[in-house]
Amino acid sequence: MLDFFTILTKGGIVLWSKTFTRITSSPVDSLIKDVLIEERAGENSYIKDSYCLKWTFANELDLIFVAAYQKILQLAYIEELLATVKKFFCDKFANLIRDTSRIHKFAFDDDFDTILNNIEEKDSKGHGKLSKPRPFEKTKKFKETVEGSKKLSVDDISKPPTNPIISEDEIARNIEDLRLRSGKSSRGRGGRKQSGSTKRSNEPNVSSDDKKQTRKKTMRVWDDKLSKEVMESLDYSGDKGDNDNSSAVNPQDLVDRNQLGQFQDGYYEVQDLGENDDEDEFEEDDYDGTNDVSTQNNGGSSILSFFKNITGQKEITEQDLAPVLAKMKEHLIKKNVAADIAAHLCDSVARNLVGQKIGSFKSIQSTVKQSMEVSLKRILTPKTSVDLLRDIAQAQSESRPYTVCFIGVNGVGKCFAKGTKVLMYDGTYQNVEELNVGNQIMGDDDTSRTIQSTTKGEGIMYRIIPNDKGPAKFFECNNQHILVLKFSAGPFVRNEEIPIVNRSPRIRLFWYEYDTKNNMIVKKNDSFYYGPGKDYPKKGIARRAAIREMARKPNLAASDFIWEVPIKDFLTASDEVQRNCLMYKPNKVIFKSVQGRFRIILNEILGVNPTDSQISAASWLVGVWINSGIVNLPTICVNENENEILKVIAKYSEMLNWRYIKESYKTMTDDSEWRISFMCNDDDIENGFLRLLQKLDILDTKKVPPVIMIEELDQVRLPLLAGILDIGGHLLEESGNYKYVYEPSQERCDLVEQVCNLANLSGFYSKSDFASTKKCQDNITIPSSYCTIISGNDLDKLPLVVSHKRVCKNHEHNLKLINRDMVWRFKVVNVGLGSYYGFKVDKNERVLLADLTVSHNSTNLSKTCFWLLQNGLKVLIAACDTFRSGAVEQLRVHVRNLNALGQNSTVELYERGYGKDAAGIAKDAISYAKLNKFDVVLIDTAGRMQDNEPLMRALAKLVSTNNPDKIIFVGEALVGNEAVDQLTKFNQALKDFSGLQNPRHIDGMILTKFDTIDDKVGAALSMTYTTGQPILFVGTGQTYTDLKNMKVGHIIHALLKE
Amino acid sequence: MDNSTFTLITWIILTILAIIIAIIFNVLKNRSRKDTFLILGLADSGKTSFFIKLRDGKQVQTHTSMKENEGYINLENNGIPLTKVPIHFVDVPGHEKLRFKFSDFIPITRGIIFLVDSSTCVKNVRSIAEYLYDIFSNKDVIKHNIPTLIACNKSDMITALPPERIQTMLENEINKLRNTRTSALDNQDSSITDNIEFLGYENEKFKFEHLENETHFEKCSVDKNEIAEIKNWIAEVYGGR
Ligand SMILES: Nc1nc2c(ncn2[C@@H]2O[C@H](COP(=O)(O)OP(=O)(O)OP(=O)(O)O)[C@@H](O)[C@H]2O)c(=O)[nH]1
Ligand SMILES: [Mg+2]
Repeated sequence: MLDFFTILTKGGIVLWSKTFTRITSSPVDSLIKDVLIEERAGENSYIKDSYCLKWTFANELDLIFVAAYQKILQLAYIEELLATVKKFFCDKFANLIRDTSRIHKFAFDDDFDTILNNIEEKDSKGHGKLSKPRPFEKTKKFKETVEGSKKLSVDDISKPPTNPIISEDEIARNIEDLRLRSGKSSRGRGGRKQSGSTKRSNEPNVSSDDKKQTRKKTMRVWDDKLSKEVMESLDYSGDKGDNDNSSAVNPQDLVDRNQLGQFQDGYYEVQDLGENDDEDEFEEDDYDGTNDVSTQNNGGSSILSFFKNITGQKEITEQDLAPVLAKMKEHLIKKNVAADIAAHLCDSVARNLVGQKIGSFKSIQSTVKQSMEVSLKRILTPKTSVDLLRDIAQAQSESRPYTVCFIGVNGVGKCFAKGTKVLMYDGTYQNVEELNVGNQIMGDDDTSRTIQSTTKGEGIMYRIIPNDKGPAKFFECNNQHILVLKFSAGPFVRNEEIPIVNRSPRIRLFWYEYDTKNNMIVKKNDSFYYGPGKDYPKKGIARRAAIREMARKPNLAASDFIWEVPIKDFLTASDEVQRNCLMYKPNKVIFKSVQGRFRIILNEILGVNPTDSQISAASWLVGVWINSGIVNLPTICVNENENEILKVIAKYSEMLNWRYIKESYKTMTDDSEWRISFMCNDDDIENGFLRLLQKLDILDTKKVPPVIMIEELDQVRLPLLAGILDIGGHLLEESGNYKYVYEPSQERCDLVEQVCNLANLSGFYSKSDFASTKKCQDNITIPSSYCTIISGNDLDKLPLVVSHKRVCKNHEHNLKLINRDMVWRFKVVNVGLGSYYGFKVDKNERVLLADLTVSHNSTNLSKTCFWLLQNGLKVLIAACDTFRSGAVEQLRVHVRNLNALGQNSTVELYERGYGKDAAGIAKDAISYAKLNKFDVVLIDTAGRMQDNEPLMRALAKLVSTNNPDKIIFVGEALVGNEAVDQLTKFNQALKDFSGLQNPRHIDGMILTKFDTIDDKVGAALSMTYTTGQPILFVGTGQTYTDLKNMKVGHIIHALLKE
Repeated sequence: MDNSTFTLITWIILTILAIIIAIIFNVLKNRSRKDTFLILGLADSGKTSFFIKLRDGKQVQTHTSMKENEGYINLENNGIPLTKVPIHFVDVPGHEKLRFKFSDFIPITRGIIFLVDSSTCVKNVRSIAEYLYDIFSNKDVIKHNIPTLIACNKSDMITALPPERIQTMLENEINKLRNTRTSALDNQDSSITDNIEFLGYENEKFKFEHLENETHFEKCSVDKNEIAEIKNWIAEVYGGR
């Protein structure tokens, strides 16, 4: 059954061990190396060769207990054995163990045999005992803790858990049995009484699984610390908080510590506890109180115990840790550590700390932080050499090229349907399918994003259709596209007064909780019963309690919560949640870094630095001209009735010192109009307006100048838009909402689009449309034509000069204007298979109108290449991305650049075009390299989604046929939970699809975009934890030199920083 | 009444003083003396076995260490004490993820005993050299010229190499390493410029004798209790302060 049992110190010295069969290799060493040192102690068991190992720590004594058995066996009693042996051993030999100045002999063989026999016997006697339904609270607790994140179905609760928490009772019983048999201990009064009641108290457990009776369980009180230890080490319940009113009481709280000092030598006393249905709070108080008393009793003198208290030597308990670790976990998740990993890590820290003594004047927080720091350091410290150059030298001495294979995920997922417009850096828009490598796109931070590569593919597409309040038409994208949504519902309470049978009236609290792990919003509720004999005497009090509770919910998704969610996940949210999600328009785009060109142009024209009002004036004039000027002439036509406009033209041109000639002119429709020509007869005074139009490059096109699109908002964009609207727009009022309808004088669709874009960039909604006949403010009916409709909160900010076209804040509809937020509802419609176009950019992926996540295989390959070249190595790049169009060209550009950069470095590209078998190309490249004495071969592979099986198979094939020296995964520092999934699936694929005896795995990672994440460095931790492999480099920018070694200390600092 | 309050205050003051003195004493004791010997080396080189052998003269079963073993040991050779006072030894785990701890002890270190498993030396030469490189390029090791004994353990095994061979192997390897290390990429946080130390003389092949600090090679076997040379070396280094 059992193969061996070892008790050793953390220092590695075996104190006692017993083997039952011959042990070939030493699985204990592997256990320590693979699990315990790697901070995976949060796990439960470890399989090595044919053994299954389980272990437990006794941290207060720095001991590890390891039991091993054949993995094919299902030994359900191992935990019990470990726990019992631990308690007994620590109890019996405490003094010897503490004395670390010498090696001691531990006479434990007989005792161990007895314990083992005893437990085995019990196990074989009745599966009755083991398979009896566990007390409800135990299984429940187990579900919450040991299994952690893994979800147990409800059914599991009734089954015996595979890994049960052993009750203190059982251990107590085991040890008592041992004493009975060996007859070593003299029995006291308490003991006798005990044995009787043991049987009694067990009866309900065996005979019935009725919850009520189970809860009446009796507790045994043990000789002080040791029983405490056992209980603590066994009870890994994270938090006892259970919203359920019927929540079971934690047995630990019920132990009356008052009794502890009175019993020596392991005698124990049973107490029947009767009803446990009292309130939690009460028991906690009770527990605290008695704890104090016992301290005093033990200390004898209160002064002494006072010093004892402040100078520490307090043992850390599970309860002490729970809140601190919960906070720590949250903190780590905030730093972008994958949620699972944060939980594992905290479990592991807990296991290492429980039972340890805290030194003087140290808080639990700092102890946890310190312990976490050590754990992090262990995880992040590489366990193999990361000296790539040394590896290469090795290969050189064997006269073979060193091969590095770069793999990674790609962003094919986050692409748009044909026709989706993307904002370019120069303010123009382009369709996504027209984008090319090298184009510059506007990023969300007003800086440019250069397109690194483009891609296209086929997939199920979704159409996001805004309701009519929304902007533009709709856009299409695939299911990976990330929607940025505003959640619009908050928590609320509801009265449920009508008593249903057997239930008293209650206040119900509903709230939405953001599940950080799954990136999902879920609705939750809680009941506050009131009435005589209930939790709350009166309705008002219950209500207040509910409202108080409302604020306390963690991860509350209240209104204004911003949710970034891929469409595929969004569609799995409940209808109610979906309905409460709104799309919203980010604030107006400011373009800090590029603006100011208009100012410079005007400066040149005027010869002096223009004032703000001069700039506005000029902008407005340009706006007016764009709508009703004459092509190639600095002339504006204004209807003679437009007095206000004429007046302002006069005022503004005086401000700018531009002279003009005013002529009356009869139009065909018999209206007279004024032609205002900014020309002067003196030749020596230059015509400012003409030059402005020339400089803006619009004299012959009359378009909205692209430069303007990204200019200063208040001085340029708004006045210009106002100018256009003053002369060509109409103000509409529809049920209290204002909007401008702009319709250009000539049929000019391009102008409609341009004005629409300008308005959108300036903080308004705007969409171009075929307007049906509409009533305007001034009772003019405009005919159906192509026009743009501008609406939004800030229409009053537009400095229109025509008074009846102005929107005033102090208008009677004031309120409505302010309340209208820039949000709108939308629909997601599956439109079936379609093609999508995507692109990759440098820096962060938040380009305007898009939100992509992609990787940068080739870029990082080139950076690595640059570094290798600098070290005088001869490099061959194998273009094995035969899948994504543009990949080879991209590499060619890199190779050209690299060759130009280094003086006498050689880098060559090995390519065979597209569509061919990547594995074959890599193979050819390697033999070519061997022949031509290249030192290093860098293999660029296509980025692929971890779920794409055919592509993953292809990758595995490439790896298994070429057996590269290093497989480097290029990942993004921005990924959160996704990191774990990506890496495990890549490793899994390399293992499953390789067909090799010793399959390969990822040997190291490169983390890109490290400069964009601040201190949210969690991905570094997630990735090293998942693979156990080091992060070789981090990418910190876009140039070839922006590749750095990761510094473990820096990561730890960033992770733990508040 | 007054009297008792007064006594109480006196007591409190005295207690506080006592605590302060104790703390200062502790600090001084820990800080000012540099008389610890570190036992370093790769995993499985026999550090823990050596430590126990030194302390108890016994052979014990060991597993990979997760934590340091430390203690004060009375050095003696065949019952003859080698030093007057017990010496503090620390056995630092050799696992790659744990060995960074050695640098915490360097400030109080008098000498380093670096154990090498002579029987697996060929296979591990790179790891050994890397560890040695880390030790020798440690700022404090350089500053205090901490003497180092490279003890080639497990000489009882038939596959064991003689110390001379091990020395040349390591010198060759360190020679390569100092080239690759110094041309590695910069650290990501460039504000802390911890340049990697170049060991030995430039333009000359690396030799242990080029190092500022004394290094010795010695053969030993913990199994066969052939550790007398090491003991003598320790006593010498300890005595010659
Ligand atoms: N043949 C032989 N074996 C030895 C000798 N010294 C130690 N060993 C064995 O080497 C193995 C490893 O010894 P440890 O002392 O645990 O190694 P360690 O250096 O402490 O390893 P870590 O704690 O992992 O760093 C044990 O099985 C020892 O019995 C020796 O001189 N000769
Ligand atoms: Mg050891």
